[in-house]
Amino acid sequence: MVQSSSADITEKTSLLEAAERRLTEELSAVRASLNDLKPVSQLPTEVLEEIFGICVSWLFGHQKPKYRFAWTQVCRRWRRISLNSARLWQYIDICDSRLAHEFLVRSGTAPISIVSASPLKLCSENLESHAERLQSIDVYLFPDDMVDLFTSIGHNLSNLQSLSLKVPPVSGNFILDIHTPLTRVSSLALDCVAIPWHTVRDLMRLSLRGLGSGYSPSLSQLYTIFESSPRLEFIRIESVDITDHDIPPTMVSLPYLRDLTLSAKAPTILSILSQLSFPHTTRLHINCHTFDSLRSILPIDHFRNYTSNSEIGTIRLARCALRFLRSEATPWTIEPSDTQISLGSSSSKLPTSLLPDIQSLFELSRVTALELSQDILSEIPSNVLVSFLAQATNLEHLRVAYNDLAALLDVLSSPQPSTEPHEVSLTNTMPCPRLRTILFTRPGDIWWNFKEQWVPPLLALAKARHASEVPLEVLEFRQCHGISLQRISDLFSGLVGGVCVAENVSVGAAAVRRAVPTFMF
Amino acid sequence: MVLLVTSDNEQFTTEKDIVERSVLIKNMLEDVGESDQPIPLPNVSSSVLKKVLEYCEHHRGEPLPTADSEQSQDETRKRTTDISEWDQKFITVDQEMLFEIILAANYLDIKSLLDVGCKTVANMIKGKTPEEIRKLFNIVNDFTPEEEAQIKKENEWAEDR
Repeated sequence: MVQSSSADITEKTSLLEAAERRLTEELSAVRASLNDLKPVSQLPTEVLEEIFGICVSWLFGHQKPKYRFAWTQVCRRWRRISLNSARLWQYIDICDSRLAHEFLVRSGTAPISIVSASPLKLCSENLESHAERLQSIDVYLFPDDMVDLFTSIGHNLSNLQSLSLKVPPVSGNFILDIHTPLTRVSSLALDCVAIPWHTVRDLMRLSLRGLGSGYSPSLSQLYTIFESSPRLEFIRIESVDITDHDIPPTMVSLPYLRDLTLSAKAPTILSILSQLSFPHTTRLHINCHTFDSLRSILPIDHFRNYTSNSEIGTIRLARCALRFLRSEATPWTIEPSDTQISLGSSSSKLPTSLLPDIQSLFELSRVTALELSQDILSEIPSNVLVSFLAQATNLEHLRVAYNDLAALLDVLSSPQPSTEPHEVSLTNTMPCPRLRTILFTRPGDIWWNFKEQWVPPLLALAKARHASEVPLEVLEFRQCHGISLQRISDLFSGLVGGVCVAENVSVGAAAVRRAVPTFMF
Repeated sequence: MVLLVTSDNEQFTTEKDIVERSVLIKNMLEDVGESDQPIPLPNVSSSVLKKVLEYCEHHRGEPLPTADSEQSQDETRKRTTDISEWDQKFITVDQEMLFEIILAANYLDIKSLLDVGCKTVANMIKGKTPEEIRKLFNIVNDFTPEEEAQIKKENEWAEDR
């Protein structure tokens, strides 16, 4: 027997290995073809990409699932789609260095966003070579790490569109020296972080928060940002200590402004608003710890143009907030989009002088609905209430949460001297002559002992208004204890157009008995 | 009313505001204007269209996604996988029907239904090993040993740290 030479064996091995490779490849291809016949293979690439996008999003959640890349290891097709779709890998979490590296590679040339899930920065990746792809930075880091991050990015921020920087509160305020103009940044959010303010322009969204004296922009710097950002849609300024209040000489117009939120000291709010003009559709949210009057936080004179063109139709008075709601707002709405103006105080209650002030800001005759939140009536002196209701000549709907109703029912039952000059001392008129409906109480609340306390004066009111030919059309009771449809409709029959009793409350064994809202005429 | 004809030649008459949740049909109706002509849907079978119309009817009147909301949904990082109770019940079907509904939603351009379908599949995958996923969808492992080795290496940095 001829013994094989070493060369022969090597050649034979190579041949067999090639055959093995070919067979393995073929086997793999046959298996892939088999997979093509499975129902899941009907899903086109773009749909699988969409599904994998959801799987990627879990990597950024608080609870990361087990086997977080399992879908990339199921079959060749799923793997190919996953690895070839650059957009799946565009969020780079710099707190996870190994993932950050892999994501940077897999994202290819696609635009990327730098994010950090916690203030622990571990990534040592040099980002300079990716700077051109950088379209968004949204990080929560300690100041030193933030400096390192921007050092590694370098000076090229030319494609950056969104910048959101936050440092932990323990770090205090911090100035990040970005000297590159943020030419394409349209969304800027800074939380306890200051940047050179001259680099900021052409914004659509601006959020500044937690900036103390020496870190916050001055009023003139803020106005320069407004002036150079005519397309601004959202502004949020909270706890920003602007120490200078040199009001700029000219008005700045922000015609696209949709939301303006200010939470600061009264002089700061007044200064920011003093020369700012925006459309009557802009939603305004103001929160101030303490203020004496509306004039101390709002530039009343030029604000009248804003309020007079707005679609405000409802006023809601509460102990700590005053809301002007849009005409079409549903009763007791909590939808942010229904609120045109909200004025809130973080102290216990709004100043009592606020109510007379409203008349200087807003024509009360435009109010068609008034909502009185819990216990607000105890805060309003009766002469102020009389004057307020006398101005609300077109009030149609009154909605009242749990309150002491004595003064309110008394005012609405008592003719007042006419406010029309030519009618002085000749006639007395009922306040709110168009008042049609009164609703008690707010959804979710229960008004205990309503019947005993408030039905007698309510009946007196109904009689007085009926006698004065300004009768109520509907009295609506929601979860008012002691009110039954039959008894209440008997009592008010002929005095009001109808009553509605919903979710009747009883104090028997079943504490709350629900009923379908019902009208009786 | 709008008349739809499926791939298996069944006809469905439905209200305009229901079918207009499909951007494809909405555009078709805008193109042809007022017409009694049936709209052929060669890629959708009657059993699937019945389900799709059930979905559209339940969600009629709800705001359609705008360009802005689509853009924000595209932000991979901030996506949620919440599915409403009704939608969850609606999409509890066998796998074949699930994929058919997804395909129909993709073809008819009904973004919200496509979202529900994709989230459902993603939730089925969540927390499973590759082998479990294969078993779930009846997929065969078609990787070569070299590719398997590469994946194993990848696992060292990617998993269970």
